[in-house]
Amino acid sequence: MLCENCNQNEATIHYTEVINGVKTERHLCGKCMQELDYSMEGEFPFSKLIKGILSSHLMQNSKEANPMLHLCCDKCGMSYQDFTKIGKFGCAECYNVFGPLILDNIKKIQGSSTHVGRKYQSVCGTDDLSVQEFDSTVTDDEAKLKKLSEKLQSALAIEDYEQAAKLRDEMKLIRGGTGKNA
Amino acid sequence: MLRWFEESGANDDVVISSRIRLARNLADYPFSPRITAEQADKMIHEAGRTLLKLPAMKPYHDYVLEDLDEIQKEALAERNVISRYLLKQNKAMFLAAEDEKSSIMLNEEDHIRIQCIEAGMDLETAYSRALGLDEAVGGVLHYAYDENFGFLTTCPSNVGTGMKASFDLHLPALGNSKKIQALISEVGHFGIHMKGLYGEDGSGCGHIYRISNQKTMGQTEEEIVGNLENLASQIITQERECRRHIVKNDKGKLEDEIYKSYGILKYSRRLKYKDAMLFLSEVKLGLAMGILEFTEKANFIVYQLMIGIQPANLKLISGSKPSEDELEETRAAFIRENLPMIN
Repeated sequence: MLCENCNQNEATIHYTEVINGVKTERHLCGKCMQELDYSMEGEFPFSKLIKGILSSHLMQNSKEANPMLHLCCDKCGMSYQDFTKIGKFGCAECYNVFGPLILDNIKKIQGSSTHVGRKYQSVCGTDDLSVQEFDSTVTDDEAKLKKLSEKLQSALAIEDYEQAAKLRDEMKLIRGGTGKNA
Repeated sequence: MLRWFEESGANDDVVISSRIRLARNLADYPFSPRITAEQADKMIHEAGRTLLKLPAMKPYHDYVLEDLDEIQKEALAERNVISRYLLKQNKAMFLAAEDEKSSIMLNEEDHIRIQCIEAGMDLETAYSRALGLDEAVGGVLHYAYDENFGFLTTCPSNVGTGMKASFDLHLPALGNSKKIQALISEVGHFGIHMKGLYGEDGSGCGHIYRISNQKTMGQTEEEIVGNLENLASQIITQERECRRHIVKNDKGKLEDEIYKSYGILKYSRRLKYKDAMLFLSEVKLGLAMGILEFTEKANFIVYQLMIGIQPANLKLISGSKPSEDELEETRAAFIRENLPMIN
């Protein structure tokens, strides 16, 4: 059987795709499979599944002129329609906008919708996702130093000298760091 | 300095390498589907500059993707230093350690991809190194993170830990039996993905297979590592049993195949890619089973020849645009020169 995409090579990959309840047999050659971006990184069944679930969600809802269709991320401009089409988030804020809508789907695919792994404590400030516009320079050393110095003051105020020493080291690193490999 | 594919490691009769990959985004830039070329350019240079100041980054070299030619880039992807996704990006940068065991990609599907590889079965070392890098990077760059969702990745299939752990396995005995297809579908039930690593269609050319975790949420990093190790151990046991079975059945036939493969590799003047991979796989099996023994360079790792004959790495040796015949000749010569003598 020839590949349905290029009609040149022998189809070596056969699978059944179910989107919106419609079953389709797909027959592709290795080259087209890669080009269609179901490639190398071994995540094809997973990300494809998410896209499938999301677009079926959209199809169901569009019949009833679902208000979701007007949903849009203020920060990056990702629309609900785009989101369901590509199945990927456009920015951190998108998780606040679209995240709650697909919690069930994440649970279906991941087996859970709660992170239990390592926690992250940002030294660069709070984790408030809607704080800044994209064009600001947040990796600015000055801003970081200022924040660290504030933290240092409060650590000293409560006599947490261990934390204070850590903060001082971090500040030293930023001040003294020179791009050796640059 | 030896690179990971030139070193030996635990259980390396079956396990080629162990790999950890962490996906991270920065809170202050749009993710890859929405980032503009200007923003991407700014992001990679700012992040790159900040990272290079870290003491942990001292042994790393930084590369801007645009500065490399196509063959160099492809060769890096074949050696697993960077991903195929990164190759397609217009704006991208990466930092890589000299031994190619650790790398940090900037502007992949996620802004940051940290990757650590170890020879043989040693996911723990790879993980602890990745964790160290993650702490260093996350200490100076502001990751996109949420208490409930964890690390916010571009694709929901990575969200949570953002971690993919994988083993590359050499499974010639299982691969030659019909068991491999059943195994591939079976591991899926345990949330593990398995596929052939080489060959156009992932058919398992050279009998090299990769297993990796599919789920990134609802499990701790340690659980992900533990589960994958557990499953890998079972596959290793099956492969070894299968090898013993072959020896028991017809040792003479196996020895003949292995010695013939060695002979062809050592004396051919032209070698096709698929054939070379198959014969190298046989020789690797022969060494693992004690049928073959190198008289010089006793610890020579055959897998480095498999990497060396990948198309782009071979072109690095042969020059830019060889004909098919020239490529086959270069391939044969490369193997002839590098494959050590046997008893």
